Amino acid sequence: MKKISAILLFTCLSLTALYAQSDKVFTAYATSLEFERAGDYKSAISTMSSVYDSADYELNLKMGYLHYYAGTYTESSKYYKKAIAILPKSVEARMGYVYSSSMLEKWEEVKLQYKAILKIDPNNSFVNYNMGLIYYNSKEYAAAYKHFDRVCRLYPFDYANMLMFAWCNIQMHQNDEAKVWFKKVLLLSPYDKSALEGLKLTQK
Amino acid sequence: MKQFVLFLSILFSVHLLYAQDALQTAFEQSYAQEKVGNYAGAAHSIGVVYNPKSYECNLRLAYLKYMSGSYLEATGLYQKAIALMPYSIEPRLGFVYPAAALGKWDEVVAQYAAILKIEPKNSTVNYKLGVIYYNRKKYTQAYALFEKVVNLYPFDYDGLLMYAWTSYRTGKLTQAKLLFKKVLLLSPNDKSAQEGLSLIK
Repeated sequence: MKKISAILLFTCLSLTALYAQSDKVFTAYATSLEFERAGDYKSAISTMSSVYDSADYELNLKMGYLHYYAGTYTESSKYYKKAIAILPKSVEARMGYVYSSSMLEKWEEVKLQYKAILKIDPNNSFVNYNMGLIYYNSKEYAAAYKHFDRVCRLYPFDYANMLMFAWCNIQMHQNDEAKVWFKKVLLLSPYDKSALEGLKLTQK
Repeated sequence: MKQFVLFLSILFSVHLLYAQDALQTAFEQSYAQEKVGNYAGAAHSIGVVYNPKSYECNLRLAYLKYMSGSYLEATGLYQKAIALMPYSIEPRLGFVYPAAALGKWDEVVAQYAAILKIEPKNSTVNYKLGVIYYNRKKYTQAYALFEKVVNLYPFDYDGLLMYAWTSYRTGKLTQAKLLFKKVLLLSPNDKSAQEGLSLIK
């Protein structure tokens, strides 16, 4: 009888603690949103810190996001990394990590995250395009080509990707192909300076 | 004879050059008309140079027909673009708008399914197809799609809310409760989430 009473009491206490915690977390999120609306990210961070639990995906994501907006990018990427460790298939946490890493110009880490996203979602056009840009800017044109090409197959009449694909072809001395794509860009953007400049190069 | 072949080849090149210029001018004119809301005029500009084998012409004309309210014509043109580039997602996404405006929901479902064959993790399409199934009360099918969205975006308002509702409809009440509560973290006074929670209590 004593044992049953003890278990019952323990269960009641645990449930009360759980609800109190849940209410506290809920209030923290609501208060944080108020601060965010006012652009006060530091206060939002301090509010969320009071209920922070390192094993909670949502809290890590929220902290990552708030630190990014507060301009504390190193902190932001730490929280995003924790969120990724908790849910490795989450694209949103990886994308968040990419934003803060970009601000820190940690391009290798950005590349690693993009690669991880492409393992989960190989045809993600946003990530393929950005990955193409990173390779293009580091003059790895063959690698960039693969990513722009993939996007071109999914969205064959998309301005930004067509333009980069055309430039990539130029860099790879595939002038005929480049010409075709620059002309397609000009259909979407008739006086496009970049496309006109590229077209000139193909005629050399 | 050699001179004749050369002459023909020059003539052909000039023709191609002229065709590209004409196409570019037509697109440019269509943008100018589109800017002032004259979709019929914009469609006419493309119509003058229309080539049924041109992916870009079909895509552009389909969009303009849709914007001018000619939904049936728009779907036909989008279908031509799809036939020319079956792996392309953009005309399939375009097709969905006039098809929905015509109430052809089975065709919308077919296009979404085709997109998911090409890009299985497209979260927008998974979500939208989920909503269609949910509205048709096909909760098991909707559940699978929302689950996919939430796995990729575990703290996204729309995905969470619909995943919560399909969990509720499929009798997963504990899960539904948890999900509705997550929605309330993102949107503290959310009426739909509160309604869902009250049904479980």
